[in-house]
Amino acid sequence: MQDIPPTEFAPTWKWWLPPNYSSYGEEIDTLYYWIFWITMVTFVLVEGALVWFCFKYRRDPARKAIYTHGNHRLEVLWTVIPAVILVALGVLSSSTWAKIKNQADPNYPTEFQTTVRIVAQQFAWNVTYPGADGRFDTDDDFTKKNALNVPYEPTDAEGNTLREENVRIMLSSMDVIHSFFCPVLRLKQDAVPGYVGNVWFDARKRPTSPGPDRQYFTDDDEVYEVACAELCGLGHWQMRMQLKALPRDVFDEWVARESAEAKAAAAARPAGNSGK
Amino acid sequence: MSTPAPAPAAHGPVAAPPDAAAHGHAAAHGHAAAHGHHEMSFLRKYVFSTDHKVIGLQYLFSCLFTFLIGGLLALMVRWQIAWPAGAPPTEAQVQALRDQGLEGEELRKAEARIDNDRPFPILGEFLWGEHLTPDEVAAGKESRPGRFGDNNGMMPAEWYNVAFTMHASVMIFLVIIPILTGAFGNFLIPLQIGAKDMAFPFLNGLSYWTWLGGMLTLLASFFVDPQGLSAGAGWTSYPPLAGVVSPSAGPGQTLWCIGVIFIGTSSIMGSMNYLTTIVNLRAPGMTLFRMPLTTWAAFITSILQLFATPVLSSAMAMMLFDRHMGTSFFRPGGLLFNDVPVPGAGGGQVILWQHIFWFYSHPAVYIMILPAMGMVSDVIAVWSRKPIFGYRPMVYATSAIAGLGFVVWGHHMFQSGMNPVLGTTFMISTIMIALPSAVKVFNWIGTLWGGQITFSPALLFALGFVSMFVIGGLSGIYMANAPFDIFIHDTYFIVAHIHYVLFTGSVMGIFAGIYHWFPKMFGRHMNDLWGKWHFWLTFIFMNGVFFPMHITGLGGYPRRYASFRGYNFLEPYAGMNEFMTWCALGLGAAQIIFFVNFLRGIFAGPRVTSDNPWHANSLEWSTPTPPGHNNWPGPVPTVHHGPYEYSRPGLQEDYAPQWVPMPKAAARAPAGTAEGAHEGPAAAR
Repeated sequence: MQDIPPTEFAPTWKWWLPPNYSSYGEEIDTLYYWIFWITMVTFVLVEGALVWFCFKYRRDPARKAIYTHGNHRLEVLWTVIPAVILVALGVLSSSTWAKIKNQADPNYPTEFQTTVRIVAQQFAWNVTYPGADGRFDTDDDFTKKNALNVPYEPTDAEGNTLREENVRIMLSSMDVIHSFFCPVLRLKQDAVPGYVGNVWFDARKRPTSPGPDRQYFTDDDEVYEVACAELCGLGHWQMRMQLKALPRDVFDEWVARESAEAKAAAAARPAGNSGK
Repeated sequence: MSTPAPAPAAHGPVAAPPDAAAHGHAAAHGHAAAHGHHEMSFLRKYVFSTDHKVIGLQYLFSCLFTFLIGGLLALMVRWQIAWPAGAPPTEAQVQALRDQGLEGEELRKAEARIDNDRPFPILGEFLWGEHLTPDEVAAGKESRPGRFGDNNGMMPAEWYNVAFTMHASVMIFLVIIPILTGAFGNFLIPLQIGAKDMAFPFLNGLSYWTWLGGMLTLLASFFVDPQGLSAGAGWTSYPPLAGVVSPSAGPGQTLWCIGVIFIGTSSIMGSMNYLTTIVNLRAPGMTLFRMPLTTWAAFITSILQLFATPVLSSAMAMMLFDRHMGTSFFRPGGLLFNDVPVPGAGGGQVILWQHIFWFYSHPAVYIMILPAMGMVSDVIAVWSRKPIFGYRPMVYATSAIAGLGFVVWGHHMFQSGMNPVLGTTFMISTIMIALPSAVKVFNWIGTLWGGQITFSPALLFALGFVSMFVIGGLSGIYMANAPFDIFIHDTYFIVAHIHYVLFTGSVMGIFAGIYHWFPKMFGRHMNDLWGKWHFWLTFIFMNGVFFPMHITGLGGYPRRYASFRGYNFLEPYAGMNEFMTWCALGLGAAQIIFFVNFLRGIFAGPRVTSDNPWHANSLEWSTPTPPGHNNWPGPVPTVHHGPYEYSRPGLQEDYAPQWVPMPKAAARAPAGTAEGAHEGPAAAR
């Protein structure tokens, strides 16, 4: 990916890509603009030729149609040129893909500062935090419905990351397939029953790409919307989750408070009933 | 009328007696006059027929009927997207209330009494009960329940799922595949290769009746649930949503699986028949590389169908077993529906279904476009009076699309949790498929270059196909790019892509085919002017419906959402949704022109005055019009050269029918194209 120079073209037109807040989202957007310009040029040339020929060679009894069965050299040319462009595009894209999805890739994050477990169901997201001890399936775990809080990555004035804040989600489903989709993080992953998938992202406070001046957020600039992107039944469209990005200290404080409450509630329960 | 002057009757081995050609509405009419052998009963001749032309027309009429159903479902889907229940008062309405001096609690009460919900015209109240305003409800008015229960006339979210599921199922299984392979394949293959009928005429009839059984089963699924809940898990029917009996997937889903098995069986029978026919029954002199591209496309499509469809049928059988016989192919352990364990579930793989399903359904996408590409090639050659530019490259490109079509299915599963290394593989193979598609587009444009282009309705639709297929193909590059697909997967971008390929692509190709071969099918002409109106309105409105979907998709608008209300990032698209719906209504209305023109053409269109009204070269134009039983009254014609000898120097006419030997003056082809006449563009080397 590093080989592709970023394009300067990033319109703030209302009907365009939403703003992006994740590090790999930037690379995805760069790929998008490359594809956009390649396809736009192709589109104009091809449709232009089509319309021009239709106009120029409209029926005219004074003329005879050209008799030809084709041209071998042209065929080779218009096979090879697109092939080179497209394969180059594919090869360049594969490193971004591997970085986002392939855990065996060297560029896949090695460290995750935050890990949560999300179990989707008809029609809600159950988000479980390991609590203050950082371990799952202990008494201080706590679960929130349709609310995901994560720490954001602090950046300096130029937008450089000061400290990594990688978030890992262990994603699964208890009934049908759902799909975790957060447009402003450029993240989508199916939640599949019978299988736990790992996904990761990092969220930043400021967008890495200017977006349209449209209301993408709910309360303030750090609440993103998460939607379900895989048909899951009659309430498919209602699986809306709020993803809130907080400063690290606020996040830690919140986790400490919630897990203390969970621990107290667990202690208050009669023995032999862990509440799980 | 922009049609060329009628051809002199000199071409063609036999000109049928005019009155035999004249009877319009059923292909086999010409039969009695053409040659009188044994008489058949009406049932054998027109209903349980084994004549490929009658079967082709049966498919055509059935598919045009289901096209209406699929279109109606599409309009209901669009209506729901634009105007879902629970529309809030508009700003103007609120302002009007404020102007009356209302505020606070009073204002809220008054706002609650505003009713902006719009039930789908006529059907909404028929299906989901009388629509009452809040005032009428407050006054204690009793609403009249509808056929599918009482929902104040508005479509419930679960029925919306049914609407788009059945829209896709109907359009794919009951319209596009059968009209391309069943109607055009049946009608054209034997005529174009010079066969008196299919290799297995009885199997051919059986294939239609099996398909019809599937069609009735699919449509019956609307009537097995008190709320009219047919299959509602998407046409892809991903388990566990579709694989477990639940309110979301009741008896309608079961009937859906059975219907698809019927249709798959019909496809397998049809494709075997076409393959055997094309391999064995070609007329003398009809080498493979003298076949028109329509037949080539049908040939390659049949190979796809024969290898892919059994996989679909077995997938459907496995799903039926899962649903009703306790197997667990697609049901993993620990499955909880509404917190209750699903009995018998365990050990299955959810993603296995996706692999099996897309192993059929991706090739199916090419089953739905290759035949249209073939027909469009023929239409462009005839109406621009030019040989196909790069005939052999066209054949190779079609084969390459078909071959690659079997190794790209994983691009539907980039976000499914499939091994990401496979994602890279499928991305590269998917990108490769853009190449043969591009080659075809370039060759069509090359065919137009230097032609004598007549803008008949058939050619307009063919041009519409080419220009819109370019958009569908280019948006495919976005989808194929795995990293960018993370963002646009399952958004309206893919809805735009599939409709640019299947509606503005395949359906335009189908219309081109109907306008082009109508005179041969029915012995009469459709009205050209109406055809042009039909084209332009369709062209404008379909872009109005489908182009904005790219934009909503780019904004991340997820597909299959019954409502956008409650999402901050979706609310701004409300206006665009309404615009697309208005265009969809216009698109639907434009098809009325077609249906009127089509029916009028069959019963009252001007009769053809020639067996070859378009001055075309391929063999179907050498038959009596419409062709009788056995197609040619005498022996089948002998083929002398390729099908695209248009505007060949040395000829008086600008065409050279395949069944007429090349006159001496033109037999020696001009330099540089010497062998072109006989073996395609080998000469170009």
